[in-house]
Amino acid sequence: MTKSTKTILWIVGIVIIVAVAIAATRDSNDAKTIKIGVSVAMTGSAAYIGESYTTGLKAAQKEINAQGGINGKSIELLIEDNKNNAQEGITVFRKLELQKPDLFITTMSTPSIPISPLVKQAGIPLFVSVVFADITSKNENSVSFFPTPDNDARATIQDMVINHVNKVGVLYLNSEYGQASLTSFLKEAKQNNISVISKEAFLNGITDYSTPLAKVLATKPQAIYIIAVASTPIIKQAKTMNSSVVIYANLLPIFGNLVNQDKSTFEGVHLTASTVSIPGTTEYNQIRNQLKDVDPTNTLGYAAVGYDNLYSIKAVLTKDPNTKDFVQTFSRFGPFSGIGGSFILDSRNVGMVLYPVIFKNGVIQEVK
Amino acid sequence: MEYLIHIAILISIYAILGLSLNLVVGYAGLLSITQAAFYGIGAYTTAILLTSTGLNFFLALIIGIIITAICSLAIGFVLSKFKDDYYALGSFGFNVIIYSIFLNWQSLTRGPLGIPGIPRPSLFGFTFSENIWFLVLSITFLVLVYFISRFITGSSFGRVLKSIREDEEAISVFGYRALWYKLTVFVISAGMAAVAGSLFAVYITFIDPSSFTLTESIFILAIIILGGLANNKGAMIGAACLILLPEILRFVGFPNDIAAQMRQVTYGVILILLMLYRPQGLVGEYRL
Repeated sequence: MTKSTKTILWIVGIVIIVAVAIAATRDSNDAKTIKIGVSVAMTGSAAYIGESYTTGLKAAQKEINAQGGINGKSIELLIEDNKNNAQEGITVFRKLELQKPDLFITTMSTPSIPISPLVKQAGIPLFVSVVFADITSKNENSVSFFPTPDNDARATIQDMVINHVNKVGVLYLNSEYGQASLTSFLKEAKQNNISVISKEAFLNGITDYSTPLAKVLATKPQAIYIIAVASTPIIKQAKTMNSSVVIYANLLPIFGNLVNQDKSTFEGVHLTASTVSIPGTTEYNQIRNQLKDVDPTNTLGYAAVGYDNLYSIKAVLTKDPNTKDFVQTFSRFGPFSGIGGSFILDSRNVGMVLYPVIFKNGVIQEVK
Repeated sequence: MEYLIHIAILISIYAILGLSLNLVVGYAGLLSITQAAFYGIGAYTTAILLTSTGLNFFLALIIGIIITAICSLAIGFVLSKFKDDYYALGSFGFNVIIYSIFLNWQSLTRGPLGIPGIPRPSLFGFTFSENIWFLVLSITFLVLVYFISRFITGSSFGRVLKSIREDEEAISVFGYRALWYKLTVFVISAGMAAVAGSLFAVYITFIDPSSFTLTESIFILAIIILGGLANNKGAMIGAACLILLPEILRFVGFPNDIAAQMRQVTYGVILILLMLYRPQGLVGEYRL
């Protein structure tokens, strides 16, 4: 090993030790702040989710702190990038643990599953959002707050029943999100005597959906249901391949901006939405006004989730400021209504009421 | 303290991966981009055996090594038909195939849902649930893998590997069967990667296909290039540098809104600068 290499390695080692020592002993005036650790995907394939989520979170933080905080204490968000990766999720938690957070918010299933037992062991209440995996049943010191696949499936099936759809073909993203959504949909379909006559998976990142679409369309369904993170190119291809089949796509609340940016593609497509995505509702106007300055790309959906998550935390801590009792207080909270619409509280899990809608004549309309 | 222990565990796991790939790339001169696949096979074998049969970790580890070795023998035999860039492309293809198997063989691997709840290892009633003890375990394996690598590379076998790297035809003229040597080192390397995979699975306690993609193979390759090819200590130093560097950058005071992105940019710039001024790696003897 050359002398210069040894020198570099020594410098690196000293810098690490000093940096960690500084971080570990940093005092952020604990008595006057509520520290909330936040693990979110800021880079990588899920960055668009994390960016939007933190936009809403910070907007809510700014408002709450301007109003005097929670019981006189300001909120400090300790945000770190989990890259939507299991190993990185643990690294983020270990790093934030040094700063002794009062509460920990985790997003995305992959980094959240391995840290749940660690957060539980550390005695920190865990707030789970943008996660489809089941965390709360294995960690009694956790709560979940996000539209669930069941919420979405119910609204979709409700629409299919209203429109007398009996035979459906499903195209789904082969991911944790896609699998969870498919499972919920199949369960609801069975309960409502709707036959799922074909199912085809596709991988994230592909640009040509013609093969799985052709396979699904070959079974001649009345409708096709697309479970995807960004369904625009799939809908376009589906319409090109078969202009008469009825198209359903999921989770408009998250991707309301896609619909408004590409009206011709979404024309006639059946979707599900919370009240915040339906024009003319109080929630829709509220989010447009409150978030327009901090959400210039108008991603709405995840920003609304982040915003409501922090306001729900505020509501719970206002009722009982002891963060150790957070989960207990949360589970007994009762109905909660936020910028994203109304929420269904089921013990420690909060879902979102979703409604079947159709995008017709360039406007989102409820299907009744 | 837990944070530092966590980083040290990751360094030891990636150092094992670096040592394993160094045998194939650094010593045998075979540009393989399959290491994440073997890492994944080891991880999945251990995870499946521990969660569905309750088998002891050390037995699961041995089975994981055997299964990975068998897979690598088949893959290595096919790859032996290729040379140079085609070898790299072929190995790239195998990594994609193995990833697709992890993602789609749902009855075995649970596909994208992954395998949660993997228990920590235990030995004679003692469970490695505390991270400090897990660190001792991972360092023990690292030391073992290091000494095996050192023995291989310091032996006549290692000298033949270097000769194959320099001029395969010339060494064949002397009667050495290059195919046998290449296959053997490929299988040994895969077995070592399986050790890292097993440790990873029981440490993180959850695995899914996204941890074993082509990006991971490239990261492992970056470890040995940065550390220095054909140098066992370099593989370990490369792992330490590539794990530590992003962590150091977490403590740099970038503005909150762009901190994550700036860290990635800075990380990339530092790597480029290192390659510009030390293309042979920090302690390397050989350039690709």
